[in-house]
Amino acid sequence: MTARNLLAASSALALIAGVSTSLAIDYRGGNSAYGDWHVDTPGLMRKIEPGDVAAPLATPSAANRSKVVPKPADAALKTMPGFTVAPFATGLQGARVIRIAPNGDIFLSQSRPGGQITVMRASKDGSKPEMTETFTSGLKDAYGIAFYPPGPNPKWVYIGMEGKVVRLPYKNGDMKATGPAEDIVTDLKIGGGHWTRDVSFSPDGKLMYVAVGSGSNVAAEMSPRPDDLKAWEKAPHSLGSAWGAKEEWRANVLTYTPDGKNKQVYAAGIRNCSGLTVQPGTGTVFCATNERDLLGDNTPPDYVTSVKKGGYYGWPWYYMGNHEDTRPDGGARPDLAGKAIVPDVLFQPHSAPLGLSFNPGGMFPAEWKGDAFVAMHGSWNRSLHTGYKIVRLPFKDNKPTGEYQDFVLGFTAGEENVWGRPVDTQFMRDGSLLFSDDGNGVIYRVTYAKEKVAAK
Amino acid sequence: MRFVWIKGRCAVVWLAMFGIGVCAARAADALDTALETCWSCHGANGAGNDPTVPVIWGQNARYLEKQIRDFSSGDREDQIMSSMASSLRREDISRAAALIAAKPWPGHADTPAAAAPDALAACQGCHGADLSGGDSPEGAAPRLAGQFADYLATAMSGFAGGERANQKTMSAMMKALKPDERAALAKYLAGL
Ligand code: HEC
Ligand code: HEC
Repeated sequence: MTARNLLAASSALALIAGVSTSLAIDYRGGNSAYGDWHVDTPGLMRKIEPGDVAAPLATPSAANRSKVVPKPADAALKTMPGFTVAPFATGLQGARVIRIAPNGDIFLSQSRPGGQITVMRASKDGSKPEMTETFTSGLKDAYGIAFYPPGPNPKWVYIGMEGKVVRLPYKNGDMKATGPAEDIVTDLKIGGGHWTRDVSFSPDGKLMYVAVGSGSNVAAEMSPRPDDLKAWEKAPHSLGSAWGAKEEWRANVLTYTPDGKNKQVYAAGIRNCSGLTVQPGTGTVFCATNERDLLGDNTPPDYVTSVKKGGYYGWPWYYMGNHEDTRPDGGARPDLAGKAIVPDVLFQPHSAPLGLSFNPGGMFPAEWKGDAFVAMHGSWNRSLHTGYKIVRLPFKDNKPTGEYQDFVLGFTAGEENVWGRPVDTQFMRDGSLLFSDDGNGVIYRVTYAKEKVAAK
Repeated sequence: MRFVWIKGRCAVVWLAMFGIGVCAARAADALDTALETCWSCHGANGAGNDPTVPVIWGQNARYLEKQIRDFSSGDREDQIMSSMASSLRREDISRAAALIAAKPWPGHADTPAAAAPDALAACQGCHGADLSGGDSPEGAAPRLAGQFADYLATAMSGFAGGERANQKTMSAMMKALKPDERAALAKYLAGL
């Protein structure tokens, strides 16, 4: 980042800081934006530019898998002034995706082990569940949840499982499914460790988006290569579509009609869109993605991006635009040089962003309305841990600025242990933020009170 | 994992310059280096300090080879291990398995359980009388004796719940047991 950019950005931030918090915001661009959990501070703002991406193996590829421990007695989560984080519900093993039904009920997928959908109805003050029921169970790897049709009166709830999408009858207020799961899509590819299938609908209800992550880290087994790549990349595939038994129809956002027909690649080269969210108001598809492993501590950034129809986002041959990866099977793709779209918001590599949601307003500072909040599951392929936190992505005119800010953190307890692994974020109707932790099976709730800031 | 790249170049550059012999020697060193990364999780002395990461030193070679291939192909699911397995070249996998199998099975600190669970007899036919693994009609059966209890419990519930689906007989066997029976087995086996 140039000095001029940095200045411009920090003065824009000073403005935000003046309104929303009494903190002077620490801003890090260029190489200083990189770092591990030791640097994390509530309010810290970062911007990573594609030109700043470290060369492959500038540092060796490390393995430092976190060990999930119960919350240590002296541990506490940290957030920005005026905000409070408290457990909303506990004992939710494998807590993953959270979605709010039109009536405010909280749907949660508990993916592993088993695969079930739990419904919670919050107490009046929103601080805890008053009723908790198992909506349905026995859906292997149940992950994404979407209500259909969009709007106030859904008739079904769609669930993304590793190999398929099913739907169950639903009307507002149901805490238990009133009928069996019906198969809608049955041909999603399985295997390879990327099993999270997020599902969402276009605002007009005509398209169902389904995210299917790659079958491997970087397609080291993909041959034989199609003889005619130009033909291969025509509909239903698209530019940059991978091939072979393992990778065809993967690293994609797919679209179907809501009846599960008319499969198409909507966008390709997205390694694993585990957080697929349609931006309210614009209908733009956003993905949160974990980039590839084994290239060193600071290569390549994970990201959140808006997704264009037909867009190619790089995997496996490129990353962050035109950085080439030589590992994919079947040879280089000079024909794709310069064609990979640079994602909107680049994160510290190995942060492992999973879920994202947009702030509808109502509780958090008014100027944060429309901002995205992302849950980071945290690293294993990095010498020192990073991620394990919730970050805020400022938006301006419905577009991300490219920056991100540490919002809730503190799950790391030393270099090895963590006591939480954030998975998804979702706003309640009162504007408070819920996020899930599949490490210890907790949903947390973040609230905001202006008075508290003034009191500081 | 610098070696992965050096190795890649080895195939191209070294082959052209010095011929196959030199390259093979380099590749052997590279494989040793490749395996160094494994020990950061699986333990520098064969057992890590995280009971959800299995002991692999001294494990049955054919079993190890199958697991590495299964992780790589996606038949066995684990995001980290799938990346790690695919970092090994396909032609190196059986040698890697043999190298790991040749290392000593590490000692362990789990305390022995008092009595063997009833279900244990059913395991010995395939996993061996002393549960140290061996060949079975269903393919290579791994050593269970002295494995971490947490890992064994996860592996067993994975077979039962379908998260692990790379061996059908084991899935059927584990589905037939109740969760507390599986837990008792895991605890007992770890203490052997
Ligand atoms: C970041 C941590 C990590 C690293 C590095 C790692 N492993 Fe693993 N490995 C695991 C975990 C966790 C499991 C258990 C997965 C599961 O529960 O299914 C595992 C399982 C295995 C198994 C299956 C063992 C069994 O009893 O079924 C083998 C074989 C294995 N790893 C080999 C390797 C090799 C070879 C390497 C190096 C190339 C390696 N691992 C590197 C974490 C790691
Ligand atoms: C018919 C033969 C057979 C019987 C009987 C059997 N197993 Fe297995 N078991 C296997 C095979 C083969 C594998 C290797 C699976 C694979 O290839 O992934 C295995 C794998 C396992 C594993 C995974 C270990 C690891 O390191 O990941 C566990 C745990 C296990 N068995 C426990 C048991 C227990 C407990 C019993 C008795 C209740 C039992 N098995 C009975 C054949 C058998």
